Amino acid sequence: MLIRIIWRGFKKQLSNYLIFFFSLIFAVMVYYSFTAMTYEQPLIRSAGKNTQLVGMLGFGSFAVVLILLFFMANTNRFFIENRRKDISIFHLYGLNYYQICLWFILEIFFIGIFSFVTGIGLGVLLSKLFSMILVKAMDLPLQVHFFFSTDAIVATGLVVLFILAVVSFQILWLVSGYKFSHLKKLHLRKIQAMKVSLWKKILGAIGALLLLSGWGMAVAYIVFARKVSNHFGLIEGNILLMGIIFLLCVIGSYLFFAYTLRWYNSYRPKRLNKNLGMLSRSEWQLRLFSEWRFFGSITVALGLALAILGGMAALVSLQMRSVNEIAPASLMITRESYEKLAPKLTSIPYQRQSLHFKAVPAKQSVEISGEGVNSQPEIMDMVSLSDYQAFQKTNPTLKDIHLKSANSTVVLSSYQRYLNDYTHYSKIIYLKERNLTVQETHPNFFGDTNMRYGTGMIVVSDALFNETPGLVYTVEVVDVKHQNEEKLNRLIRKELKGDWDFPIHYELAWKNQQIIGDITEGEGPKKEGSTIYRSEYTSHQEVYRMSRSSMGLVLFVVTFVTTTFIVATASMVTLRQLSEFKQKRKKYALLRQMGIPDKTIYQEIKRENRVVFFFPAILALIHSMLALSVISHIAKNADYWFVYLFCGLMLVVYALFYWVSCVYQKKLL
Amino acid sequence: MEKIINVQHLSKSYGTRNNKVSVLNDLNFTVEKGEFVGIMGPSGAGKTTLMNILSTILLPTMGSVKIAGADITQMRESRLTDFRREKLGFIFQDFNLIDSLTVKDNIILPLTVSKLSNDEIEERVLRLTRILKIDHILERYPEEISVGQQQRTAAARALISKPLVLFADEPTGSLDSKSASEFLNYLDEVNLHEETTILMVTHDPYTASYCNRVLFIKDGRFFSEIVRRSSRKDFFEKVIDMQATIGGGGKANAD
Repeated sequence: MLIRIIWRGFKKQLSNYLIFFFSLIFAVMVYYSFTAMTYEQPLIRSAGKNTQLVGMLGFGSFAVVLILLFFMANTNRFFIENRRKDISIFHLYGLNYYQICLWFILEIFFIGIFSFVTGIGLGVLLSKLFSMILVKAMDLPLQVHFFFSTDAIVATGLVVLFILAVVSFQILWLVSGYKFSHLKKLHLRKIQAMKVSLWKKILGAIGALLLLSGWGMAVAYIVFARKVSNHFGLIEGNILLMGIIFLLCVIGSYLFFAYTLRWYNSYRPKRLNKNLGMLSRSEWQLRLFSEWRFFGSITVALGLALAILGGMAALVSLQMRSVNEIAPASLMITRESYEKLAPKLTSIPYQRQSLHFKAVPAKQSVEISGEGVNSQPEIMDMVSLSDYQAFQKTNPTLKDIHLKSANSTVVLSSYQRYLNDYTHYSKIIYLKERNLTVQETHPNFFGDTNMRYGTGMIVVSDALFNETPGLVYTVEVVDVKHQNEEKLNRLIRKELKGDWDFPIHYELAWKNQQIIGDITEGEGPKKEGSTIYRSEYTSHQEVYRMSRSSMGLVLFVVTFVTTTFIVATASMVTLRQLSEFKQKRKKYALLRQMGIPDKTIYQEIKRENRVVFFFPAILALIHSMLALSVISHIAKNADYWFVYLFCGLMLVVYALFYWVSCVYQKKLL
Repeated sequence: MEKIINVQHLSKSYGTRNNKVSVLNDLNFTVEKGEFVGIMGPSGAGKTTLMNILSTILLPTMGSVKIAGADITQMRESRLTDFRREKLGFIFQDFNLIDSLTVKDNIILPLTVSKLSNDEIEERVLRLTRILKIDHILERYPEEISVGQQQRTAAARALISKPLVLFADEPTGSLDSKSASEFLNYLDEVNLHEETTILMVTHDPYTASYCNRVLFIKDGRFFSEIVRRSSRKDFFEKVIDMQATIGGGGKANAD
């Protein structure tokens, strides 16, 4: 009998929980699709060993489970809080504690199973779309077929069951903590909510201060970071500083909603006398009082999600950019291997260019904040200006260079991407016989560093290149048209092994302002000095595919997890707005009876929704923007358009849910 | 005297053609300006329905209701809204105050959509709250004050827009006897000083004895009317007598 009553109650509430279902179904769908893909053999095989497809998708599913847990636990708590009256009526009817718990648990199970079935159904239908997006993102040469996985359904079912079990325990815990005296307490809460005492004002001021200082530190991050790094070391210093900023923002956000905003709301200017302004103020005040934790959590979590997305996007854009850095041409190959390959290359039209490098002992001091100065002599690769300019013709990413004097040089550095703000290169490079002055430092687009010996690379005049003694070696650059790349790569896979060869040995020291020691060919004695090899070739297509597939995968997973998260939070807010509204209806009926025009009442509804939806969203947006500015100091030159897209998406999703809430409430009125 | 409320042939029925419930049946009466009129009758007599029609919340099935010369049954919704705001005031049994607003904000709530200046609003609040003796609790919240004070706050809210007619639906229903007589005295005072016409629905003879005139309705029809001509005590006796006649809607009187 009890079950029948519960079922009836559930059916009645079904329409009210639409939003709740919507986000649950969405989460189940994403989870299923991710899990199904981990069982999709053709996809895994074509993604190859290099990309951690299964691991990454697993991580994504795990994140979705976390979001689901957060969402369910939070919503469940809210439902039970809202149904305190029901609980006391049940008590009155003589239902005992376990029966009441059973009631709620069964209800949540109905909800869970309903959304599980719908979510799986949609997931099965849409998993092809998901796979297609993934394949597109990873740029895999693969045809996607409709795929159905019982394993994935079972896995999803287990996860849903697990979450429902957790929520059931939460119900047991929440209902047991309930007492009748709560009703009385609830009564006095409204007065508490309206009054802002002195210590609350102090906390409010602290909250604002924390937020502002967190933001200020983020804006002036590099200034603080240098100082902290000098004290604690580069990595530790940065982690410490980021941790501090994060903490400031988290505590600040909570305090902001709990006290700062309430302090502001308690200020009551005369203009609020118009158009029910004071009513929206007081409603907002009530909401803040009872739900500051929720608003704080949403803000922090949203900000964090967007910041993580930003970090990922930065990584991806740098990685994709580095493809051009590592492989500026279709094929870069050692002269020795080229000579072997050349007879077979005749079938493909190509352009060829030789790059002559000279490995020389050199010393340039590099100071990294917090890590001290590195001034050991090392091997540098020298390239002549004429070679540089010749290569520039096929590789337009190289910047124009005009050397000002015979001893001038331009450094090509591959460390330009990360930690640019922390490194400081000295302006003088010591060679064995002479000193060079560094004119400029450019990013290095000369291809894979593994194909060269040196750690650094310098461009010098032709005369200087010829005069300086060193070890000369040549790398051949082969460029083919795009349509021939596939053919070229087939040939490469057949003919080349990608071995490391041509070792050199060196032992260098810095004594009496002089570089001592030499570079010799061959492996040399093992005990002293160092031996370096260089790799055989770098193919643009291989590098591109590898970067693209792993980065595409990362973006894919992060995108769906973030979207799920945004949708989940927005629907949590919506749910609250809608269920609160039922209690507020009496208030609006009163306003109508007083002769307040409907237009004003709708405005009031919109205003009440607006603050609830957009205050957390905009605060989270500020947090994430500033987090991005911090990240951008560490990873220079990254593209962030993807994150901005998501910030926009978040606002759009929130606006959509806001609109739905307003329309629905207007209908209920 | 000017007729402020003129009800002619008022009928109201609910339900479909086959299942019709007639609540009001050809009701006629008038109320003059400055009168304090009570409406009494047993449960189910149609008091609340009448009140809802007069206060423009319900539409009648037939008949006309003129308030201050304007027929409210013929008005459009937007005009009705303005009419309600400018010409009518309401007091309810359970006060209907908004807990999260101070007493003062509750009182000025209806004026927030008007074009009155802040000074004018302040002045009205001060004047009304002085009469109702709630001027010292303006910054308090409804839950912090007594029920009597809460009902007076509701009265102040109803009167702040200087309505022509004040409708009160069982205003003393939630009050203890002391607060009830206090409240009625204040209402009387408002009726005298502000010349507000008051129409009050009640089933309590003591409350009704504060009126100048009491209309009795039964089963949706006008039953009788008594007018106060002497002391309140005598009037109270008369009301009780009439209530006994009408039968209070008990089983013995049921048709």
